[in-house]
Amino acid sequence: MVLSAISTPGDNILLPDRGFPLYSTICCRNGVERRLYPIDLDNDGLIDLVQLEAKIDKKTKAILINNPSNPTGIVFPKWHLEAILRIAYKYKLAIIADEIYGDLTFNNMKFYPLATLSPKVPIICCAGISKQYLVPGWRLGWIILHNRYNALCEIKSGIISLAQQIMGPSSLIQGALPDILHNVPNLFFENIRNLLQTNSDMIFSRLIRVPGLKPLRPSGAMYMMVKFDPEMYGNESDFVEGLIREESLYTFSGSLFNAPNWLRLLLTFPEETTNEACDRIEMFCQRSRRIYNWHK
Amino acid sequence: MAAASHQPTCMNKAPHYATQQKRPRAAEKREWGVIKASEHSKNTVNPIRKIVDSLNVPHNPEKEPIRLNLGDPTVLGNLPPSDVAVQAMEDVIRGHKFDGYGPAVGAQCAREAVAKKFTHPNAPITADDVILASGCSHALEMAIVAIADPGENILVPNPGFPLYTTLCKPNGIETLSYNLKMEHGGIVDLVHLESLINDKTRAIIVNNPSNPTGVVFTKEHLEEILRLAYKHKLPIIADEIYGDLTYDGATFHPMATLSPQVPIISCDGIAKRYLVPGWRLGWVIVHDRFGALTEVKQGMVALSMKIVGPCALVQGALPRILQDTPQSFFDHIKEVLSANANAVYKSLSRIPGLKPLKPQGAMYMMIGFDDEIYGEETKLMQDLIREESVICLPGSAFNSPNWFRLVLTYPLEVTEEACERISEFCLRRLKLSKAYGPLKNTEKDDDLDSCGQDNEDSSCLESEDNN
Repeated sequence: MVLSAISTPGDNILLPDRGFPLYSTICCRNGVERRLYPIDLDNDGLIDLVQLEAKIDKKTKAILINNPSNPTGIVFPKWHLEAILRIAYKYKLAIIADEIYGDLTFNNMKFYPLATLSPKVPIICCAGISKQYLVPGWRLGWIILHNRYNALCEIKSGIISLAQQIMGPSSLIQGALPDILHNVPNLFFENIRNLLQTNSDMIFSRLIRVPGLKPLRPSGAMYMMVKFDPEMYGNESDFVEGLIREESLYTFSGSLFNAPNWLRLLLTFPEETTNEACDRIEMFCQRSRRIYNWHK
Repeated sequence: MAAASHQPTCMNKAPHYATQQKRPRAAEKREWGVIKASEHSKNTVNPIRKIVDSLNVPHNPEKEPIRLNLGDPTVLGNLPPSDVAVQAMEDVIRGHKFDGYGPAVGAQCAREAVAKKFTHPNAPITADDVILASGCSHALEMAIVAIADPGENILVPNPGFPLYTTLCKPNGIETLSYNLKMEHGGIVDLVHLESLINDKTRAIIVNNPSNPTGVVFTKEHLEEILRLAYKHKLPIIADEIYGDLTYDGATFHPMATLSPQVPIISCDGIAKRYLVPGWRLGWVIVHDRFGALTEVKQGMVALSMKIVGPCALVQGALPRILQDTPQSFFDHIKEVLSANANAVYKSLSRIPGLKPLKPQGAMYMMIGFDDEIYGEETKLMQDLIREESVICLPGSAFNSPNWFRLVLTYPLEVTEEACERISEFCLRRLKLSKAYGPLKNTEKDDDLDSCGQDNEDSSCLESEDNN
């Protein structure tokens, strides 16, 4: 709804270059130019702010920030978010904040909702119960409009108009929402975070020891990106398909997130399963290195 | 890091990096302006809204409001959903098998349940012909957006459900309205319909049973429409959300089961027949005759990814809802509708200048009125609220001025009370009209306010043959 309300053909919206593919699908559909800003996967997974700023022009409508990030699992530190806000303020741009993972963070990283930081810019926050409350099938999300300077009054009207098309999410979930938001105990979230932490630590410590693999340590969301060296392992589809064929292990190809030669792994399985997955990746890599190098 | 070498198929442009040619830098703006909303969202208009806003007048404080404008059968609580549906939801919630993402087109078991329920020897379907939606409104949206491009047109009934226009307009699709013969039982004016068809027409929307008229088309009439569609090689989008919610001897015929066979996209859901409009569960069934809808079906599958399916919990409950809801549940609703329809018809037929159209399906009734006697529509509806606390929906909401729509889902006593109040109101107006001449151009309130309550002019109650 937000992208449909804000997109005018000929305008552009800044999107993360390693990001959730749906942003692009919706932008394509609405005829607005997607302008991708770099996420520096090889270092800390933060945004290259110089390049982000370089992409802004008169037709830029908004900057979309996804924090914590899918697929990287990176949680932007406060200083980084404030730097983004300063850019948005400088060019008088609204921010679309995809904060679906919210404070699903670990490794002592804190989640800061963009709207709570300075400088204040108009922010359209998109979130929901899917991830933090573990009910993606229930289909309940929301938009919060931080209408600073009254900049969003037309967009807000537009979103309300669009909401008429399908008349809202399931009323049953809406009815349950107050209870869900107010009464789910903190322990529920701690358990999730502990599992994510455990899985993340395990995968990181094991895969960093595998030659030609380079995991990016996440601190939030539910994923981990692992880079592999195509010199050692061949191309991405061989790697991903090989894992499936030989080890019955399914991963997400990085290309789906515009990050070829990376894989995205899920951190939500039970510890034993994650352990088993690491075993299988290690074995596969060992074999692949031998075979690939032999054939070269 | 290698440059991006593989693009997901939806993208047809390369990603834009700063390494490519430079563009002029934006000037840093001094002021915050209002950010412009998209034309798409500005063009998404609910034509009812303005009309509903105009009804926002204070009601008579001495009379409890009767909201005959609300097309929601659950409002008063006298028509609750079936225990089967509620129990099915409870079990699905506790079963934890529908908490996660499902296919965007809907869970296999749910689509199979729809196919099993609605398959017919003349229109056999499988789960693959079904796409679930967040309500029938969403089903209609997918069908409309998949079938027509900007600049093309879709034929819609007049009077008809305003949402068709709300869905077409922002997508640049024109709606051409074909008349229903309101003076002749609300059937389709086939000559008028045919006259509208041009080379940019992509589909005909047929709503049966109809909102707002409550009319149920006979088999023969539906076949006439099908013959027209066949002749012009046009698919039909069949809005059949009221399905077999028919009474007083009328029979519902799903268009796909009749001849001649044309490509049909049936839009339906559990909202009305199962009395759960808020649960947001609908579907499209694609009857792909002659392979004509292959691309459109693919388009709808793609569109379904926008919201990744309706609420999974309701999908999980759907098989039981469709299979196990007892017939008595539907019989009861029909009894309520029939009783109300007959009470309203009997009561308001007696009022000079009112012409109720007798419904046999859906949940509504249209009452025509003579504007020479009763004046302009909006004012009439507003005065009805002010004096009698009865709220009806003006026909203009459905593109049918000089009619108003009332709902037939309340308990009979409430409906009868409403009829009494409407009758009294109309008789007062009648008196005024006789005293002061046609009210059609009346603008002042004074005359009407001076109207007293001693209005039972028995001569007005002589029944006229309105059948």
